[in-house]
Amino acid sequence: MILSRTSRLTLRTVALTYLFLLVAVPIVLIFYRTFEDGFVAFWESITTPAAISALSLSLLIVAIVVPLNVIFGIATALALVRGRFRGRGLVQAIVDLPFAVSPIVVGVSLILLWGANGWFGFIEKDGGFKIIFALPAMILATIFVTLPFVVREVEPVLHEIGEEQEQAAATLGASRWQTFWRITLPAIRWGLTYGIVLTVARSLGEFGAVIMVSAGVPGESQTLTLLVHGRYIDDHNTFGAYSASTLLMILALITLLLMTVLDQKRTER
Amino acid sequence: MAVSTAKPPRVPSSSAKRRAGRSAPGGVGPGGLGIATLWLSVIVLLPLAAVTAKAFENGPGEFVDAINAPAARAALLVTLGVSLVVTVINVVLGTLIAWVLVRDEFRGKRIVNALIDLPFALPTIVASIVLLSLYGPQSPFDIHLNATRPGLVVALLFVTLPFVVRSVQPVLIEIDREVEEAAASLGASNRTIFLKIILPTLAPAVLGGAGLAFTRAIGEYGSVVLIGGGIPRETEVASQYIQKQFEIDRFANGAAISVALLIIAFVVLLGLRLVGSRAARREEAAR
Amino acid sequence: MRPRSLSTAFVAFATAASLAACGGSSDSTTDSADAPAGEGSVKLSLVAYAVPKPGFDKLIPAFQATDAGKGVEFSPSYGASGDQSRKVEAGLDTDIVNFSVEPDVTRLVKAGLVDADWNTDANKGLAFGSVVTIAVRKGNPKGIKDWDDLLKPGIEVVTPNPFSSGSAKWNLLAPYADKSDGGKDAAAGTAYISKLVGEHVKVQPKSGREATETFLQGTGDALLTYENEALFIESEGEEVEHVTPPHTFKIENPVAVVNKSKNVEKAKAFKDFLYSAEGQKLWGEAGFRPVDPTVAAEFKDKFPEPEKLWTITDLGGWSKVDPELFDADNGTIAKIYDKATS
Repeated sequence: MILSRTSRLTLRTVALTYLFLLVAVPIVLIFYRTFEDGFVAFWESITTPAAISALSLSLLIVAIVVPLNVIFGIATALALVRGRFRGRGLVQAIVDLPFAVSPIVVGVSLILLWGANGWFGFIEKDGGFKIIFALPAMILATIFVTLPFVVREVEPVLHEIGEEQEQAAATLGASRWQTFWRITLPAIRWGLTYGIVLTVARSLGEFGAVIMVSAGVPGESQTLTLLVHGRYIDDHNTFGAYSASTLLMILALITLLLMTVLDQKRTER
Repeated sequence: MAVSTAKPPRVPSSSAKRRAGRSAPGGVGPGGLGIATLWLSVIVLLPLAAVTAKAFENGPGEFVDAINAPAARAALLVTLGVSLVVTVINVVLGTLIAWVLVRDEFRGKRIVNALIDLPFALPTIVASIVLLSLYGPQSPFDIHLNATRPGLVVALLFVTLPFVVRSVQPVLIEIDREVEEAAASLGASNRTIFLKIILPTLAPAVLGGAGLAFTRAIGEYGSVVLIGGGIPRETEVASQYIQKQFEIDRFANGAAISVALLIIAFVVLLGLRLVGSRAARREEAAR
Repeated sequence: MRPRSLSTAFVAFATAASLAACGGSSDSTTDSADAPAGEGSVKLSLVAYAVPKPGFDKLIPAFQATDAGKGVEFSPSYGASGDQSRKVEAGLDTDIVNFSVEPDVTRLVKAGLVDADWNTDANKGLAFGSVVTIAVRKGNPKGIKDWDDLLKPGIEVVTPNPFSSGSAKWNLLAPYADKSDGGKDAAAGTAYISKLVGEHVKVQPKSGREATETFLQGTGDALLTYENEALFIESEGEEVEHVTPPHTFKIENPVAVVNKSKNVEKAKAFKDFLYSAEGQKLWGEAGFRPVDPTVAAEFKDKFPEPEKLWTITDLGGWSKVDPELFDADNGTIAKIYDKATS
């Protein structure tokens, strides 16, 4: 199908105008509003104690969520690819479920399960271990929404590489662990890294699920996204919200860059 | 290809299936399977079970009543209506953008291509602030969309941008252009080629992307929370309604709407899976 | 394949993080939590309703400058009064609470978190107050001056949701008290609220603060709010002004110390500071009506006395008003809200 020059240009103009208005202009505007008073104002706004605390909390959550997702994600992917068991289709569907669940529903479900009056309420009531309105719930919420990434990025690679090498290693007397470390892990590393980048991006950016289960105390239980919201609504501090947004946007752009680079790496293979 | 959410539901390729079938059983011990099951249960299944149980706590009658309450019904209808509009726009413009990115050549195409993924990487609350600054009361172009349904549509278009584009793009790259050329040499018009050759090939990918965009749209919260305004029966979406119910201590009502959203998303995804496997079967038969 | 480790991603993010973190603390006071960290110091967690932030932003540093407050850090959190109270009830670590309405403290008394005698001190547990006012667009284009003007055709009123917000309760009590002549003619009060909520209130923000943001973003012709909140947004240069109806309602915002607090002494000291002459003066400067009569007299011009100021006592006190009007299942106003919004 060969389009005339006019129709090609028309299509291009429509596509680019749409993207320009929907994505480019708003983002440039935020950058402009953030930096119109100079870099110093931005810097001061993202280095207040509450902002630093929010950044460290976001990173802490990432630091806890990523290893858990890596360990259990690889285990789940292995079980899905290598395991022979009934109900595999069901497990597949469950892994995809978090993509389809509204973040608010995630928060609501966690409250009903782990909250003081929920099914597992005894942990808080009798054990004195706070989950909802505390860090554990924020971690649980983040794991929920990021659960599919590692599984879904590692799984196709595992399919692709098959089991010949692993079996060969086993024949040569390698233990399971040795086989995993020497054969499986190197093979899946790019897929895994890609999954990790997606997990990190989503963890830093999650809002709806986290706001439902966080105590939301500035300087203590606010993540970066909650800081944006808190500054905009509770503090009537629009500039502060823009600055925190810009910080998150810079992190998002770094993610984007990593994604592009890794995607090339992965396809090179 | 960028983010896994953008991919149409995965159907394991036949070669992978064959290879997996050949392997010796027990590549994963029962321990591994047990860990995976426990993990999925604690993180995903139990919370969703808890919300479902809460929704039906007082029997199915109360569940239906909660969904039928005028404000709840309105929130669900607004959500579905707006999501539908967003999906249709995505189908048209998403396919168009994918076309331009694959078949057109221009300076800066790589940058535009990378831009498509930005909504995935950008936190939804930032999206909300970004759009509010442009289309809100301080709009430099004097366009005021805050607290209106068009405002909701813009917010949802932003967050669902990548789905159709990223799902159509790879299929468009792989499409066999010789068939098009053959058809053209036989005198087929562009219109005929598009309708008879390209569209049928793209359809499953478009549908897959559209389905994912739709499920994302109905559950969306962060990007609409500031620009949407949350006016009951006007711009309040289901997720905002659920949140409000929890804030005013009406857990069972909120749980009921949550379950309604879950069911809708589930039905859409199930439909996609069916369409996906049918397409895969057709492909297989064609070989 | 180059031998790059899996931690590529982490390195990038860690760099970004340290980039942001190495700036250290600044002395900007834009955020809610803003106390410098100190060794072995006491940290008081203050859980408050949505709008007293401008006040506490003045009171906290002043307290820290006193002997009693030396080295005391604060982590304040602001939100919808009912919401905040429920979070404390659910176990949020808190030392001192400041809610919009008394029933939100009563909830904590029932939960055993606040002593039953919290409101028996000289000031009845109230450190400051305000009056219900109407914020309108600059120049008052719709000519809104009194409660009846809100019921004119086409007027849209912004007020928060009374199920989560304390502000919403005060806002509705003001015309209710006036129309019902202090509760004597409940039917007349209910009729007014019914018309207002049914025909003129379209949005239900969760807190007084969110209601303000909604209004500032262009929704509605009038915003029912605290006088202090109206003064605050005016001082921020927003295009609004406020009109206090001649007959309005006295807002009393309680403060209480949580008895499970690990720092009861410091929390009490802070509470006492709120009542001190210096504290009272700072409240007044921040736009809140002081409770201390001598200090209040100094702010006579800033806070004009309305012709008639109804109080919660006129209506029989919160223990009567809350169940009758706001009980989620049986309250008259709650039912009106449910009817209008469900």
